[in-house]
Parts: sequence; C-alpha cells; structure tokens
Amino acid sequence: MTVETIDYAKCISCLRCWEICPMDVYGLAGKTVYIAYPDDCMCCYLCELECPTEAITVSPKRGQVKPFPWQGNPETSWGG
Amino acid sequence: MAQGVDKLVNHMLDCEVLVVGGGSAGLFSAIKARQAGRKVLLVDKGYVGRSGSSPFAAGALNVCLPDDDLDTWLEEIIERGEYLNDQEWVKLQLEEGYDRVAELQEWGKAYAQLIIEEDDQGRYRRRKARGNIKTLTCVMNALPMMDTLRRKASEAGADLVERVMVTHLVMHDGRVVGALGLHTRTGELYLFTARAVVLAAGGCGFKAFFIGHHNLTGEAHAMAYEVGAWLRNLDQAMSNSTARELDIHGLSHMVGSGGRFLNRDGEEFMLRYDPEVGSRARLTKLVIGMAKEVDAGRGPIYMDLTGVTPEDQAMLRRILPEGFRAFERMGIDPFKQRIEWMPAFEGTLAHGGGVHIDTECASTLPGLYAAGDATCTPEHGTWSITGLNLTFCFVSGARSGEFGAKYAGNAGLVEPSQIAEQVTEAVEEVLAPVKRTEGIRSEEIVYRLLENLIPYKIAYLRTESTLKEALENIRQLRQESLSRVSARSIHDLVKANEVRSMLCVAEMILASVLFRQESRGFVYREDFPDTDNINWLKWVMVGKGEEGVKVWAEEFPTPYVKAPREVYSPFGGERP
Repeated sequence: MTVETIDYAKCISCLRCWEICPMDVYGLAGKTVYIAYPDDCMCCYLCELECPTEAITVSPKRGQVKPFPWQGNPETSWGG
Repeated sequence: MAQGVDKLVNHMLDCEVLVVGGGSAGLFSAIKARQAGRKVLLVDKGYVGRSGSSPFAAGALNVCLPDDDLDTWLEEIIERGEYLNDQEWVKLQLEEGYDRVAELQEWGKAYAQLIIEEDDQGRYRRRKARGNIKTLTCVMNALPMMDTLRRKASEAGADLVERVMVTHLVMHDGRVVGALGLHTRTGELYLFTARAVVLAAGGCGFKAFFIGHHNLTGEAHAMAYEVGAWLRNLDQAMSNSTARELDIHGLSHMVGSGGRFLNRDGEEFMLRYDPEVGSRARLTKLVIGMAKEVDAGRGPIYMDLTGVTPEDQAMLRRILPEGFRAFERMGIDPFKQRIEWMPAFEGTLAHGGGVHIDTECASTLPGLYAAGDATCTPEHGTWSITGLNLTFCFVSGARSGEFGAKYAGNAGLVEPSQIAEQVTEAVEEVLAPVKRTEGIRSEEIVYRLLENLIPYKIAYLRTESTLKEALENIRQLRQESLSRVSARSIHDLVKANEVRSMLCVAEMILASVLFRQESRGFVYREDFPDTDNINWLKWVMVGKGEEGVKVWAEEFPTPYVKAPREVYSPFGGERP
C-alpha cells in the first residue's frame, strides 16, 4: 500500500513532504499536498519521520509487485 | 540540421565545475571545488540531502584513526576484497579518510549535529561489524550528515539545481563539456555547460528490493558509457539482504550486535561458509550462502535479533529510524521474533562497479571525473569490510572536487552552437516516450528486467547457459523498450528515461559476469567454482564498442599486498 493517508486535520501545509520525497510521490494543488503517485512510494519513511504534525501514515508494504529471487518467468530455463 | 540550442531547451546554465548528484560524494565534491575558487553548480534528481543512497547510509563508516596500524588495515581490506582492490586507492583512503571524517564531524558540530557517535571521552565509538577481523567500524547518523553537507555546500557558495535528472553528457573536441537534464516536475530541459563535470549520481539499484534506492537508476553509468568512458568492476554487481515482506537496511550493525542468520532448521549456517565470522560474513559470502541453503532445501532464511542487548537495541533504533518505523508498522518486534530474510540484489549501489577512475578521480575522458557509487568503487575489491564505501564517498568526493577544479582552471567553456547537433539528438531521445501514443509502460519493463537479473540462478548460483540466456533477454528487452516505452506525464517520462539507463547497466553487468570465468566475490559460477589467481587476477572492463557493449580484462598493479598464485575455493578447503 505504501504511503496511505494524509490527515488534513493535522496537515499545516509546510510542504516538507513534497519538498523532500525522493520518489516525487506528492503533488501540490495550491498549497495542498496530495498523494499523486502512491505506487512509486518506496516506503522510506522520510516524509513520515519529518512531518512536524504526524499527519502522514506510510505502510511498509511494497508498492510495485516484483518477482522474488526464487520466482522466474516460465519462459526461461530457470523459471516456472 | 540542428536548430539553435536555445530553441531546444528551456534553460542554459554555465559553470566551471558541474557536479551531477547531491549525495555525500557530490556534496563533498562541490564543497572542495568551491574552496578551490571555482563556480560550482550541483544538480540532483531530488531534494539535495534526501536524495540518493547517502540518506539511507546505515550507520557503518570505516575510519582508520591516526593511532591505528595502517598496514594492518591495508592488508585486511585487500585480503577481504579478494585482491581486486586498487591498492593505491585503499592506501589513499586510509590516509585521507580520517581527515575528511574529522572535517565532517566539525562542520556538523558547528550546526549542532552529531554525525559520528562518540564515547564519554569524545572518541569515536567503534565496534566490529560486518567483515571486521582486526579493523573496526564507526557508528554514524545519516540524516544529520546530509543536513550538514547540504548546509555547508550552500554556505560555500555552490548553486543547487534540484529535481533535474541529468540524462546525457555532451562532448566537444574529445572532452566532456556539459550535460542535458530534464526537470522531473515541470518537464523543462536544462543544458549545462562546464569546464569539468563530476559524476556523483550514485549507482543503479533497478528498483529491486531494499530500502531507499528506487530513484537510483544508473544514469551516471549509462551516460558515461554512451560517450565512451570506460567502466569497471560491473561483474561485482552487489547484493545486500532484506526482510521478505519489507525493505530494510542496517544489517551491518545488526550482525555486529549479535544478530544471526538461521536456516529452516535453526542452524547459524554461515558458520559453515565462513567459520571465522559466521553471520558477520561479508555480503559476497552471505548472499551466496543464503542461495545455497535455499537451493539445498534448507530455506527459508531467518534473521534472529533476539540476542541483542538493550543498549544495542537502542543504538540500532537510533541509527535506523526508517527501518524500525517499518517493523513497528508491520506489528513486528524484531528483538522478540525471527524475521524471514532473503538476498536483495542491489546492482551498483554502495559497490558493484561503475566509471573507471584513477586516484585523481579522472575517468578515461578528459573533463570527466567521478566520485562515490558512480565509480568502479576501487577501494572495495570484490566487497571488503563494511563502511568502506561511505568513507570512499567522502574521499573521492573531495578529490574529484579538487582535481576537477584544477582541470577546470585550464579548460575553456564550449559555445552552445558547437554542441547543437548532440543536444538535438539527446533532446529527441529524452522526449521520445511522450510522443508515443501507444507502447509499453515502464513498470512492465522493470518487472521483466528483474525477472532476468535477480533470480537465484542469475544473481547467485550462476552458469554460462543461464547467464547467456538472461543477457540475450535483456538485450531484446533493451531494443524493444528503446522504441516502445511510452509516457503520458512528466512523472512517467522520468521513469521511461530511468528504464533506458537501467537496461544499459543490466546489459553491462550480465556481460561482465559472463566474462569472468572463475568465482570471486559476488561472482559465484557453478561452472567455475574456484578462485583462480593465476588467470583471473584481473579487472573486468566495459566500454562502448562498434557492436555495443564490449568487455575485456585488464591486469593491474598490486604494490602492497600480493595475492597467492593459487587456485582455491572461495569458501575455504571444503565446499559446503
């Protein structure tokens, strides 16, 4: 699930999350930050850790589905 | 016919030293080039201080103090780097590392930031961590380090250009004279012209498993390759390890605090692969040990932190705030329960090959310098003891800034009209994905790339036939994606360009691994299971040939520590 919610009752629009996110997950509409690209969140927690009002909740579940090292494409000799 | 450059790009900026990348290496470079009196521009894909690998540096820093016996450290680092280290670089790092770290700590204290942890007497706290036998590892805090370096670079007068992804280098008259970048939010194009360019944009993690690197997609490697610079050590593309269910880091101090890796039967299996250090084994042996256990039916693997003392638990929570937040959110208490673990292919992050440099950080192209993970990481060899890579970022960062500044003193600036043709082509390439009304999404290509890069049989227990098959698949994918990847937003366009870099780096890695016909470091070949110091004490080099990726071997000097002229198992006498 990655970055899940911004609690707008707590958010003070300091824009720090939007400023620092390494993956550019946040968008900005006027002075309001919103979660624009949640699938690209890499669960690094920088936004949550730096949010001065604890308005952000990040889930540690990976955003993009990826093959595990023991999984392989059945079309390859190591897959299946 | 090339148009006027001003019609092609939105911004044209000139400087004396252009630093690409704002992690610890890039910031050190910018600070030193400024101190040498140059006009410096530092460009980063993200926000400087929270971009790249450095903000996630997990507490381990190798510092040889003035009282330590340098020769002992030199010997340990080279032996444990399996003799592939550039020995002059190891020596240089041991000599200069302390000065850089002391300087950094002083800058930090002036801003009320504590970077290196100290004991009651004000000495650096040091302990044995991953791979250490006689050497020791300092404990450092990454975010205070980054805040300090950002502030110092700004105060030194370096101009920061943020959220601009540099995609191409520009050449004129046989030297590197600038770069092209794409703003990741506005889509505006930036043309930078410079007297010297420092590549410090980190490595390529392929958006695989592990925390904090999904924006590190190999632009430095790919653009250096495209203009003809040599690369090296890509056969030693690295792996770390992480929890199966979440991306975590900080393993070095975890195993240094008594953390153990267990197999299905509860056995600390690494004692079989590396009796001297067990779970503190270097990453090279650790990930191959894990893969072998799983292959032998003794998986899954677990991390067991239940024996860590309360004091060390507090230290780990302090230096790894992101990872412990993740555990907490998953409802896991890592000090009370075992956690399922797995190898995590990390490509060229922290180690694993990149731009070939000499001790002045000069690449094989005039005007092009490199520092940090963008380089061939010459200090590490295969992968030596923990914490070397971060110290290397400081030392190589500083040296690239100093020597880049020196070069810039004797080099001229190019006129934009002289590079119009190259800029035209580069702009075409950067923007091509938004012009495609249909095509493949970059996410799909990343998934297919990982299918051919991180499986056990490709990344760990390798053979010629599987490597050839994977390489061929990557080559096809590269061809296909170059003509078909599409984007419908600036955000997608960034990812489409990242895919282009990643496929280039993936091809270079697989070609390099296939080339090394022995087992050494991260290269474990089931068809060549021994380390062969008679035929393979060589660096694997990569460059752009007439038919694409060209790979060759180079012998190198070993002035301080000689490798035994022998053939032996990398796991000692008996094969586990």
